Amino acid sequence: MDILSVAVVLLSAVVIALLLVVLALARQVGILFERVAPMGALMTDAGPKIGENSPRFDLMTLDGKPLSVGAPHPRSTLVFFLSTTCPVCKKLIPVLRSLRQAEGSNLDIILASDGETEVHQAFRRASSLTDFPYVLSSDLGMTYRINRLPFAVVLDQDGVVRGKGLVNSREQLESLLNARDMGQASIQDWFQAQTGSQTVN
Amino acid sequence: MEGLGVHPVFVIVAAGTLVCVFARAMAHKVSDFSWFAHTLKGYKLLPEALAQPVAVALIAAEALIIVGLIVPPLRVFAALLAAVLLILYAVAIALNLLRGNRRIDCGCGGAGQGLSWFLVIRNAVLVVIALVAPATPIAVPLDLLAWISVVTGIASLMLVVAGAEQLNENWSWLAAADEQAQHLNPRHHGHDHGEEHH
Repeated sequence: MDILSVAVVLLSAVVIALLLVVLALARQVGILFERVAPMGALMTDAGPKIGENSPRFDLMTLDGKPLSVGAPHPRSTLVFFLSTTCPVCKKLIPVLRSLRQAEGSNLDIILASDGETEVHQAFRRASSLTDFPYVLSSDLGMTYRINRLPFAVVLDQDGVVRGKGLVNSREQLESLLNARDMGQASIQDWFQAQTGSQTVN
Repeated sequence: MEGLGVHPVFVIVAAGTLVCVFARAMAHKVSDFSWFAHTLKGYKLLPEALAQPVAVALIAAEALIIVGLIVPPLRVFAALLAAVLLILYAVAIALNLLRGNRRIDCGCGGAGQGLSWFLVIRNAVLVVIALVAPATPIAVPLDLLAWISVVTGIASLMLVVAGAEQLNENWSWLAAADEQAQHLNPRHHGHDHGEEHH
């Protein structure tokens, strides 16, 4: 092998090593974003407030079973608002599954959306969500003033709103349940309490 | 390179890279087929009833491209089919971006990222590669160094593709975080205007 060939081989190896480093760095940045970017579930001020009673909705699930949201209930309820086209919703489906397993008999998870029944039936089959109660109600979404998805609302046994917000990650969903457990409405509230009138950004 | 001919290393690297790109894409589509068909509906370019058959046809086309690029007599046909498919995807993405329909799953696999012009540019670059692949190489013997160049060339290009996609995903996170920051401080950015940008 002449010196030029040796140099090319050496440089190729270095280029690949560098690209691996770049890829690893990019991945780490991605993981950081996933973990820390939005702090806690993001709250909106509109709709029923934390600590207020949720309005009662008597709905029908896609399976044709009656279901009440906001009525007193032996377990607390997580209402997860999704749409058939939102990528983050898809990502959170396995998280919902593991939450249900972890919380077991303490928590009911309800999926909510609005639109055409057939579209949602097809979506539900496509993403194997048939083991979750699934309701379609534009009233429910309007009452909670949902303009972003995925959005989650946590109700306690008495139908009182204990947490709500835009959720983009497992951490945010868990933070809503922590809010229920700890009586702290949101991390934004906690920060607000800590820093006076300063806002978190 | 002598004259107008293309050195075989370029052709093999181009074809090899396309094989890897399409194999990755196809693996995503096959592993979650029902979701892929659903993603296709999200693009709103087809009657819903056609989503399923078109999804099958796209996967078949990708399989054909992978095999064709490896089997020498089919290389030219497969490379051109790859260019057509890449342009088709880019047009579908561009149409939805122009319609403002960017919050749909791009169908790129993984957790799902929205649409962006980055994906159109990525496809344009891949089309250029797909146009190198069908070229007739000049007749030169390939020695060990040439084969090393082939392997490292394909590996480098695939790493660049993977790195660029990761950066695009990071950028989606940033965009989402910005949007939420505005949502979080409605007093600072006008009330109840979640979609506002500055």
